[in-house]
Amino acid sequence: MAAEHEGLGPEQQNVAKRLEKLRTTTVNRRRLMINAGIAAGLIGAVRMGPEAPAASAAPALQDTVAADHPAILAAKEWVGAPAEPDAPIVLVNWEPAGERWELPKRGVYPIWQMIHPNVQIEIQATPIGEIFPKIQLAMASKSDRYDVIDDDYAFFPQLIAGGHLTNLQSYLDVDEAYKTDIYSDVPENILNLYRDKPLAEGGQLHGLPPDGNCQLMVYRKDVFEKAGITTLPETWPDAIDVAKELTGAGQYGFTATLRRGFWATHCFNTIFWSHGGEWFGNGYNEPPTLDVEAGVMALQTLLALMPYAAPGTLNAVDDEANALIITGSAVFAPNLWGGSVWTNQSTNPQYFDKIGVDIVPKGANADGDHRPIMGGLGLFVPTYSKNPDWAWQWIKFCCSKEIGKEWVENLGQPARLSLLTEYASIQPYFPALARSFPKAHRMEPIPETGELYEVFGTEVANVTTGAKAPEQALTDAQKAVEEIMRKAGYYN
Amino acid sequence: MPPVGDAGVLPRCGDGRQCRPFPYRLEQGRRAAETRRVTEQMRGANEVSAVSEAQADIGTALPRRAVTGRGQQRDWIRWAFLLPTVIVLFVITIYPMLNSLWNSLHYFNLFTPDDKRFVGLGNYVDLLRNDPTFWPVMQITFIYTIGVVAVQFVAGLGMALLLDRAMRGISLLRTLIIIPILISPVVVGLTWRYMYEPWGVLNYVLGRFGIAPIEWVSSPSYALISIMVVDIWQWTPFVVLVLLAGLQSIPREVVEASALDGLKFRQHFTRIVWPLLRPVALIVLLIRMMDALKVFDTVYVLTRGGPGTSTYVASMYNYVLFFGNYQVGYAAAMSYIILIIVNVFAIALIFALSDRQTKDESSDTVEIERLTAADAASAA
Repeated sequence: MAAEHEGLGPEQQNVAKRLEKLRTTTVNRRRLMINAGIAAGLIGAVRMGPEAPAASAAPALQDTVAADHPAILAAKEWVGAPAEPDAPIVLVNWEPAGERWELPKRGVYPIWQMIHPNVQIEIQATPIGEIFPKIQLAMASKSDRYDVIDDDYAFFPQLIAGGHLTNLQSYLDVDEAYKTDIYSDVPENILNLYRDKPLAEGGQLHGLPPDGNCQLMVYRKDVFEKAGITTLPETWPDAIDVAKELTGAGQYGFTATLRRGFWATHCFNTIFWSHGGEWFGNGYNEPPTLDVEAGVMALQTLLALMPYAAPGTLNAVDDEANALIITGSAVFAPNLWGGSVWTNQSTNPQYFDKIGVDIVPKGANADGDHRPIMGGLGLFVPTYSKNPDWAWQWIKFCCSKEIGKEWVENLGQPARLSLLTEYASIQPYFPALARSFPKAHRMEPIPETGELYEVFGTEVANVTTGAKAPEQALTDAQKAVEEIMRKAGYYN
Repeated sequence: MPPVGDAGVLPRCGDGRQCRPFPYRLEQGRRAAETRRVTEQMRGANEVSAVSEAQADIGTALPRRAVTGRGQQRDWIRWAFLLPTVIVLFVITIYPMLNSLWNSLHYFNLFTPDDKRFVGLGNYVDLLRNDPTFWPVMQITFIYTIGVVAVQFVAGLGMALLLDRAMRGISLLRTLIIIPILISPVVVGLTWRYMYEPWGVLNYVLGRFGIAPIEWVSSPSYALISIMVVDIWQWTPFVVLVLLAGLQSIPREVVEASALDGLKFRQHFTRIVWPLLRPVALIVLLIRMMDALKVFDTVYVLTRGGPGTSTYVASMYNYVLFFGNYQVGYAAAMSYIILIIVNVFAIALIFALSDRQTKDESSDTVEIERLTAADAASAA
């Protein structure tokens, strides 16, 4: 024993001996690597071990949801609900992340839990920029992982054709009261987005939309007042005049989503359709009808607006165009995707109360009308789901009007006209949506739509950047679209 | 009279004129000639040793790989260690590549997977002959590649030459200069995107000098150049690093000899440094060219191929073909076309740079041998 350790108690001597050993131990590189490997292995084993149950930070359900909530009372009247399971079951709901889709469902989930405590909903969110191809891959591989999926209506035709979607019509037909309510409150042109055919042709619903969307006209009320503009532009020539009037002194009178590809095509479509144009005016088995007067007018309208475009417009998607509105750089957008981002104080702190929203302009020609491009996502039950009955109950719940307040408060954007009217105080742009939905025009319900819009959008970008004249761009676009349809087998 | 051909001494040609001062080539040529003589000697010796080796086998002339139990066991152990790597390589590289190649021979839309049909080289023909977007996209890609690689190489070489000296703080400077390549390309793209905003720092600085704001990434006239600037900023340090290593591997004696001979910088660089640096330069040009041809992340973050189609590069178009158009077969064909183009460029670059080197060396070797023989004769 070392001399300096004498006089220490046994425990202290142990500690002293260990310290001495530690002090005299040499660590070489080999020993260091071995120790690091052991440490890493231990950490990995702990991380991969069973998860500790998460401490619930949420308040008890009875504290957040009243027992006489309208949704709880309404659910008792619904017909066709399966018997409450004895043991908890979990449904997986795949959602695009964020407002309109994920957040409203999380917001109304506590109400669902009060009604069906043994049916848990696991909401999985994926950024909207990634989710659509992933849904396509999941359905192509017949994944049974998901019970409810929220998908863009543009993909429904091919998913239905591929047999990936459960027919919800039979579920809906069981509850006549609920069906009548849905049919009367959601515009038929929106419900048709989720049918295999239009209702008039005997179409059946394969999805239901708790969400609706279309392009809207956005403007700064204070800037309009200051410029003495008392009437909103009704036609596209009016919109050009207004854009010109409002541009100057660091302020721009126009912005839109003009990034090359489907964004630019969306912008073009609203103007094209508003002039009476149709992509396939003679049906899908005939060449497209793009290279027509309405097409030229649409491109010329865009070209006429370009001198008043805020910097960044040429390459903008919705986030960037909305940022131009929010920062005050652009004060007018005749056709824009957006919504609560314009009128919420949290997202638009400077101008949220100065934003006006209305239906998009119409064409000035004889066939002209307001024709905003339709958006929106709908819920469907994959054919491969193991819980289709309960999945339908969750969809029914999300599309019911009794949860409207919580839905809107959690940044939902309903497809029901009654909710858009009732909750205009929460989201001031809802009346514009209610006015626009019946006029909105859907994208083509064929699998090639995405590819067609990408190709066409390149030509729109060529026009807006001055690389091609509108007539030449339309001719080239027509040829490219014809080729795609020919390769897809629509005609020889 | 000092011996002819020693480093630092001007060799004399047969007619008494002074030859061009290429001491390094003299030494290289002498070594090449010496090596050739020794090799020929050894070739003769090898024939003898091969027979001896065969006779040294037990009894009979056995093949080189003895098929004994011990050898089999060693082979099995070797494969056992290699197998996990081979499996991983097969699963994540070889199989996907083969699957992609197979898909490229089909019309395959992800929305209509049941409609998948074999079209042979149809996708390739459509891309090369019928696709109105393909050649404009390739043109932009080539302009981008040539622009960034040329600037990176010239700037990188200049900086490497400046850094290849002993001076105070040079180590710190070398460390600081590589910081851009340590940053993720996506982060670089996002940072530059904010700098390029109409209200970003670049326009702010321009404003201080009374210059109107420039639409760096919003205008078709400037967008491609703006992206090239980002790439040059990030990857020139890589070129500097590699070329600096090449410069530092040049024998000091050669450099000192050229200094003693009184060579001007231009002669020193073109006759001494560049020939020795050429193999390293080839590598760095190859790497940068292949990266530039495949650029995606910077374009995606900054412009997504816009405004219009001014920055619509090949990889971006390939991305849109799959993730936008869901055309699996067509996108796969585009991938292979990009692969072929990258390989063609690489082979062309290797051929262009290495062929000259071989010719120069062989002509120098002949000249040096002639001089050596002449000197030996005169000495005798």
